[in-house]
Amino acid sequence: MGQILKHRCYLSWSFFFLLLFSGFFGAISEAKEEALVVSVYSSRKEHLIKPVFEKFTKETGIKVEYMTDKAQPLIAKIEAEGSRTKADLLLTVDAGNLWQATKTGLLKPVKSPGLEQNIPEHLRDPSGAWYGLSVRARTIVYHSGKLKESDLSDYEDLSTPKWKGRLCLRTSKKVYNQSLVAMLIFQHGEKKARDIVKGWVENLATKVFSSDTKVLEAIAAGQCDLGIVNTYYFGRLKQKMEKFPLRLFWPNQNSGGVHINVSGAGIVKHAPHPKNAQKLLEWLSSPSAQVLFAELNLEYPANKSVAMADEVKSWGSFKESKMNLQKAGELQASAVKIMDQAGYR
Amino acid sequence: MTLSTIVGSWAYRDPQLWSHLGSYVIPDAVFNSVSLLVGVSALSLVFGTSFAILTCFYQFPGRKIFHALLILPLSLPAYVTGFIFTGFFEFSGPFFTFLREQLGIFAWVPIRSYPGLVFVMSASLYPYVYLMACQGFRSQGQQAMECGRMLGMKPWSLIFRLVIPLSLPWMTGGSLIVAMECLSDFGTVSVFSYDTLTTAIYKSWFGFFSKAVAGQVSTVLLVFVLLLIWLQDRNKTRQYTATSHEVKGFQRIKLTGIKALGSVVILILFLSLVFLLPVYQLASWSLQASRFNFLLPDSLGATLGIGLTGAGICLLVGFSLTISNRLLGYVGREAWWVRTALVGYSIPGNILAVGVFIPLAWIDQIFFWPVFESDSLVLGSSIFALLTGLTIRFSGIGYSSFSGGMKRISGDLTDIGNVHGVGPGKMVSSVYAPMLNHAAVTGFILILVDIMKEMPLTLMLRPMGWDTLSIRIFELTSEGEWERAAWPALWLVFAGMVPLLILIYQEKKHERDFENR
Repeated sequence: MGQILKHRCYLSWSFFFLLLFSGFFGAISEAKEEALVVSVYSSRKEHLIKPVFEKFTKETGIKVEYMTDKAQPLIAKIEAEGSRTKADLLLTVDAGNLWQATKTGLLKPVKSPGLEQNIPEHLRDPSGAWYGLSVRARTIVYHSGKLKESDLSDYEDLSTPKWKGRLCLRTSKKVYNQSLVAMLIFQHGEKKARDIVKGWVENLATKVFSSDTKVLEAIAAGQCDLGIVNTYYFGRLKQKMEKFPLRLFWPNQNSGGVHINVSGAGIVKHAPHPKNAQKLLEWLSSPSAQVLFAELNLEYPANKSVAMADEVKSWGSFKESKMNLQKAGELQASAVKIMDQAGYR
Repeated sequence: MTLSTIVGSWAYRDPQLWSHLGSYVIPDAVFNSVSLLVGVSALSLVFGTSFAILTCFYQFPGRKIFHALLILPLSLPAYVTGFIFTGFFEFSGPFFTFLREQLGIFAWVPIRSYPGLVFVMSASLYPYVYLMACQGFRSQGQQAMECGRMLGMKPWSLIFRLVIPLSLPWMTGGSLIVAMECLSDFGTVSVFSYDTLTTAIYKSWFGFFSKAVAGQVSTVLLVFVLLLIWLQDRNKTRQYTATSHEVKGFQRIKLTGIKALGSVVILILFLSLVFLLPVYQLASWSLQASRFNFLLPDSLGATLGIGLTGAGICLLVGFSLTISNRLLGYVGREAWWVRTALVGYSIPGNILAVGVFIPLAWIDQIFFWPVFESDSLVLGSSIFALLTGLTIRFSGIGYSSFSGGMKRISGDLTDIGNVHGVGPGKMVSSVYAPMLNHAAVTGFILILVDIMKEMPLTLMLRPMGWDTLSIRIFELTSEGEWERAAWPALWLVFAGMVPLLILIYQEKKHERDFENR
């Protein structure tokens, strides 16, 4: 029996060395490869970016390699990799992350007339370090059997006592809620924002949920009457459920507008293939890419000249907040602090 | 290496952030982490030990099958069980919706609560205790039972007053593994919105953008880890090793009538809840997924490749640790370097990933680039980084497995060997290795299953294109796409079941071998 253990030893060791050397040779051979490739570090999930990248490769012949992970580990990775990073483009799903990457000096500002024309000003970094590519709104959703549109007004109203025990929210740990609160701080200042969040917490019907989809399901099942979700989760669930008694409401139409956020990208400072990265970025902002990019996830295209998917159109038009989204990143730490102090888990 | 990266984070201070964390986040996190640890360890102990007693000491219809089934929940990652249970037993889930719509019952119990979380985690972690307890009973059982019978003790007291106390070190060993898993868990506690130290670490990193503070909170976590390891130490010094070899199988007490039926029913109910329900839910979700096909997930190859290699390496490391322990005279105790190696098991995957990646990237910069003029990261981005991280994390299991087996090899053997002039090398290959073979297989399989289920470490350190099943599942569930996550999840369960079934078969063979001697 000891023989078997020994053989296993040899086998594992050989396998290990094989892998080690393959990685090693792989790394060396890459250095000599021609630059018809671009590497993307993406926190946007694979099934949402694969079709887009495949289209890019078809149109330009440039191969796209990508790696997905949460935004923070990706940023840490690029930071640690330093000047020999493999990443050409960083693609994330929240402006806060993009802001932080900029602040850490990981992104290279780039100005191009194409990009500036395609992407509106409040959806891109002022210095050109990143550009938003698709827009999602974080808005109020309600049970149409229990509430009417006239019952609702804005985010701040949700903190008033009349909604006690009727509100469902997602956890404060999700960056989307942090950006929303960041907007409230921007509009009202820290103290008032904290009071608003405290009011929300007191109105909660149950413990906060780990996902927007669960919030939607809870409202549909009658556990609560309304909540705050990203529009595309609403769209996804609507396509899945037969009985769907939920509706979207656009708050703050007479004040700051609906809170929006972007998924966007920026060119990495030490990108090995910066020209390809810029090509990809510009292509992503162009109409043909925008349609696909936004449609895959039922989002709004950042490029305003592009038509949105029919389902998305059916939700109606609204006034969006024009706060430059890099503010969401700047104020994120304060937002998390306020949420902790207000007891918003 | 990892520890120094984490401890090194104290070099950067942020007193403002710490005062905020200190007043609002840390106290709750510590309290919650500790309560979770205590609750889950206790409940796993109860589950694992009682079922082990049932299947090891008693005979009833289907005992062998139940023994196998009781181990299978190990193939389900805790966070998968977590999201299945919350999905099923939530207010809006099928169970209570059925009660409301079909039976008009509006009462409901929140699954996302402390009891719910403790139950779910115990349900996926109890097999560690179960396996260890079985090993303990098997090795202590016969001689103790014989002595007891000679003294006229009844079967009941034999078990409870003799065998269990003797097997306590094994049971505690299993419990400690469970406790370590608890401390480092992030996925399951997130689904339950339960704030622990791991979520506090994440909050510092992701929410406050401060890796340094995240590292500092990690040191708080490490304090608890070291506490656990110290407890394990104390436990081992009180251990009494009676036998130096495994004992033959013994007569099981036969259960009849009501007792037999009762046992079977309880086991069926428990296993249905803990294993069959999740598997059924995964299967039904898979079929509901749009664009569903029966193709093998492409991530299966990566999962198996990394799993097998990783397990092999961890085993070797665990083996060397055990051997070095014994050869250098630490019979019954642990050398300090061994204890340090064990810490790896409790470090949450993400922290470990950063702790591994930064030094490796640094080594790359200092060493490889100038020498080989390579344009990219040799160590940092190759599979080496991932294997290093996994080794740090899981060698602890390899060590535990071997040390359990090693304990049965009395220190006398080493002395005898020395007397006869047998050198250490020969000692290892001719004496220790064959005797530890059983432990090797057990260890390999447990590590393999753990690596396949692992997610945060793999997520951060994998090279491009090496997505494992766990990563696929995580990506989809974090977007709420349960249906699409279900198919890879099922494959993960099957991939985990195969090695576990091999383990069970191997144990039976081992038992039979001894009975036939």
